[in-house]
Amino acid sequence: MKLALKNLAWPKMHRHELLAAMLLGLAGFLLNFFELPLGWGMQFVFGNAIIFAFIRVLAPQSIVLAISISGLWTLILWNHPWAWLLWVFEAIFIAVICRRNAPVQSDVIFWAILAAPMLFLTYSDIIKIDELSLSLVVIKQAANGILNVVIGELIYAALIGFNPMRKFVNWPRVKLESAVITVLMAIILIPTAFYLVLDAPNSEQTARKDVGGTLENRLLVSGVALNSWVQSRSVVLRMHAEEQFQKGPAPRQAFFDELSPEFDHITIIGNGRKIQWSAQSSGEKMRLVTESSSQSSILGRYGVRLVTSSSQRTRNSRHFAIIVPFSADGKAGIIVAQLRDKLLDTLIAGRGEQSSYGVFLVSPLQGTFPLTQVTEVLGDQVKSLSQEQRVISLQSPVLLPGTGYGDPVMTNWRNAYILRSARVAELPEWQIFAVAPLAPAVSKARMDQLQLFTALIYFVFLITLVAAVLSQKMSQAMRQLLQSAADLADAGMPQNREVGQLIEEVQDISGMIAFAITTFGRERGALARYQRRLKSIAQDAPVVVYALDVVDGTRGSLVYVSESLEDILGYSPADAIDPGWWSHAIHPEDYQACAEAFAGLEAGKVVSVEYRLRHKDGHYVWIYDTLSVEANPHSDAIEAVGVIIDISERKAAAEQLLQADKMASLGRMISGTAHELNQPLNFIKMAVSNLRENAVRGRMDADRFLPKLENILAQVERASAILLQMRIFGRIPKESPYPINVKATVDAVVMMASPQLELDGTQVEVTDKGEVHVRALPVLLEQVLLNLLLNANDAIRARYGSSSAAEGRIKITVTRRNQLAVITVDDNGAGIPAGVLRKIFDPFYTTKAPKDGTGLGLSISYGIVSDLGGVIRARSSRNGARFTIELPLAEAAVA
Amino acid sequence: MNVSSDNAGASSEIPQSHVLLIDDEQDVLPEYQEFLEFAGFAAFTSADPVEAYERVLNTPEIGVVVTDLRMAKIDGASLIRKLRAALPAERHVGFIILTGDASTQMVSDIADVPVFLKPADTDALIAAIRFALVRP
Repeated sequence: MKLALKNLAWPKMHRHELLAAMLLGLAGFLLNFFELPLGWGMQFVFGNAIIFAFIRVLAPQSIVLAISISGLWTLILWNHPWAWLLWVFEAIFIAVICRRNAPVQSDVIFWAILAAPMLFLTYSDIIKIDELSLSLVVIKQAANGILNVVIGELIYAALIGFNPMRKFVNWPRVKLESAVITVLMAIILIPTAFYLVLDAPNSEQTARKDVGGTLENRLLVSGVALNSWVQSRSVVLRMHAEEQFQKGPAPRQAFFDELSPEFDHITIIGNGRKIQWSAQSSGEKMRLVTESSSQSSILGRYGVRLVTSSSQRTRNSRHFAIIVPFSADGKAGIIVAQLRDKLLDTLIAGRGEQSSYGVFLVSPLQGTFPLTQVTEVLGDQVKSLSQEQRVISLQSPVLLPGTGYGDPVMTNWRNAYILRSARVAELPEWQIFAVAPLAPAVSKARMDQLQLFTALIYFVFLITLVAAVLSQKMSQAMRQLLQSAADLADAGMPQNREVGQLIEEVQDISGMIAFAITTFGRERGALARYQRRLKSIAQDAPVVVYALDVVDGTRGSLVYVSESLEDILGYSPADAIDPGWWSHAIHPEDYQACAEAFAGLEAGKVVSVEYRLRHKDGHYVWIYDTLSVEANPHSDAIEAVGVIIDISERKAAAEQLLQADKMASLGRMISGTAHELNQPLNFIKMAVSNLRENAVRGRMDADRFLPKLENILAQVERASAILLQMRIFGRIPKESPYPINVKATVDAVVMMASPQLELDGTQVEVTDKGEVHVRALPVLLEQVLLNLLLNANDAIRARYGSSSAAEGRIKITVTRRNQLAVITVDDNGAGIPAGVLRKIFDPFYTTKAPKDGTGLGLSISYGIVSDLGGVIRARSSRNGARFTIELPLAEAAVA
Repeated sequence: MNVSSDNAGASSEIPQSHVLLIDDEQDVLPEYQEFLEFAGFAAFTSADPVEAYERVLNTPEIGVVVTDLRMAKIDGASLIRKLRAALPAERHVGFIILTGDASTQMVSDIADVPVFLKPADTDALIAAIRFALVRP
């Protein structure tokens, strides 16, 4: 108990949260004034909705505080504390006790098990309202309460969607279960509420009109009854009076007997204002009395009418007399007959069978007189009617709300009345008021509403049940799914993550999906921004973007070139769009290759070519051109979009790399070459030295000199031949590939490397099967073969050393297989370990000491062979290594 | 076998005064022969290291052997080692290496032999031969 109280203790809240709760409560209080009337004293109030919207954000005690402030409004409206108490309980139940559940579901449960019984208890026993109204009020309160939570949820969803608010508060996501139940509730509750609100004034008006119509008819009947009575009595009285004047003075007793039930007193005033005779009833009978009375002021000129007959003509008199003018001997006479008490009541109010009606006679001068039995309250209400309302009541029904201070509005409507009035010609100055209770109409309307609300509440329960079952089923399905996933993942799933947690996460995800639509709107804005950026990239990036039309399968004229063309080639886009610019700008050596590459363009084809384009300054720029061909979906035209990239730096780097590798190869052959060159130089030196010595000694005969000189020349030739073999190192490849004889290339390389190979004692054997041509540059293929040959020689030296080198063998074969030229280089050297074999084509990978190898040779060889459209492979065994090069065959050049 | 007639008499009095030059390049041998004779040596030349080996053992007059390093059958360094092992203790034969191979790692194990690179410095070579001849 103590613990529970502590949990609810206010001081735990932060000051700003307390402030927020109070402001929210105040907002709810004010919002409650905008009530939606449902008719007959019932209304929907929505102040709590705004508080329930923050149920996930604020602390539970803040919600309870806010509701208790907002609920003060009920004290003012309904004059009892029970509704306020109920609201506070509702807040405690949803915010504290069932905090983990969906709020709408919690509220339905609250109303079903707690609130409804409590309302029945308090409203029936303490406030004492009738059974029908009680049921209605309970069911309405429940609908109102649930509707408030639903609206709160919708407001919360809207707030989550409103992005900037995220900065200030942590907004938990709405769970799937909550979202489903909220949406379903909103669908049935909100339209129903609107219908009730729109329908309320109508039904109220109709009920008033119904009651008013009944009263109008009644008044009409009363008027006719009065009129016919006055007419008939005036005829009788006039007839007797005239008869008296002609036939004799004394009326018969039978005449008085006939009139005595209705009249108290009859006086006939004849010509010259002289009372002819007068009769007065005493008890049942009416007798003729002779004494005169002073009715001198009554004039006969107004016709038959009823007047208040009192000797003093004082106020508050409800004694009426019928005044009938008649003609006696050509002179005007008058009959004044005073009506018996209650006679008029019976005439106007009918026979008293319908006691629920009330009839009043009202005169501004005389006062208000009830003709039927009415309650004191009603009497007072009628008496206190304003003059304006009295006039209105002649035309339309007037509502007399049975308001009394300190009663709930609901109750008062049971006591309300409808009032209608009429004037009767026979009663000038008087108005007849008829009132009827509204209660039957109210009951009927409330019965209709009760049926509607009952149906509504059934739906609410049904939906709660369906939503609960649905979410349970979904949870089960997800649990099974996750369980099997967890079984599969087994070790991969952390043990402490329970399935329930995962379900919550999945529900969170569904919540996210529910609000994804909001994100979508933002994404569209982002997309527009990206498009702008893309455009600026096309303008500013160091690439040229272009578009062109494809004509007859080849490049047609350009339709767009980005500004960056000027940075790379010096031409402006306007220059480039000129037809023929492109074909004139291509390097003549690359023209053929470009024409072939860009032939046969069709939709879906992508062409990538490296070639040279002339810069506006005259020099050539290496570019990489990628063209993507597409069919225009709106027309039959074939269009292409392309990108040009400046690759001159890469080309230059590749050339430098190749040159570096060549220099490395040269270094590897230098000792062999030097040895080879030293032989002729040594000979020449010896021969020349001897010639000099001969000359010194005077032995200058030609027979001695000439053979020596011939030998010297031969040795110079030999030295030149060795140097000529080294031409590969001086050449930089600039021309286009052309068909070359592979065997000739192999021979040239063997010749070139022979000094070194001989120095190391390695034997080389070259075999071929017929002439094989490939399209390549000799210098490049030579470089590849030289690398392989020198590597093979190194492998042999690694295995045997230099001294006993006679065992070293390198075997080169050139064959053709299918449409490929195949060159193999076998050695019987050390072979390549498996770990090394995988990496030998990687740049800078070397097994040699830094001075012996750059690690570039095979990488460059790989690049050269790939560029020629071929492949290079390595294989190793105990007996040495084999490198295989496959290149596409080319037809031998005619030249 | 080319023995100079001019020095024939002197050889009997001064044993081990002959020079044998070994190079497997046949063409250059006459020039070596002429060069050594101009310098005043009694010279033999040989293109075959195996034959040269036999000749050194069988000719007591040979006092200096000039040899190439890279040769078929036996390389120069091996030849020197074999001869040193085979020669009797009383014979002193000087060895000189004359090679075209710039990389001299092969002679690292016979460091006491002078090495001349082709094309040889003729005066220095002659001085080295003289030094070798007079040393014993």
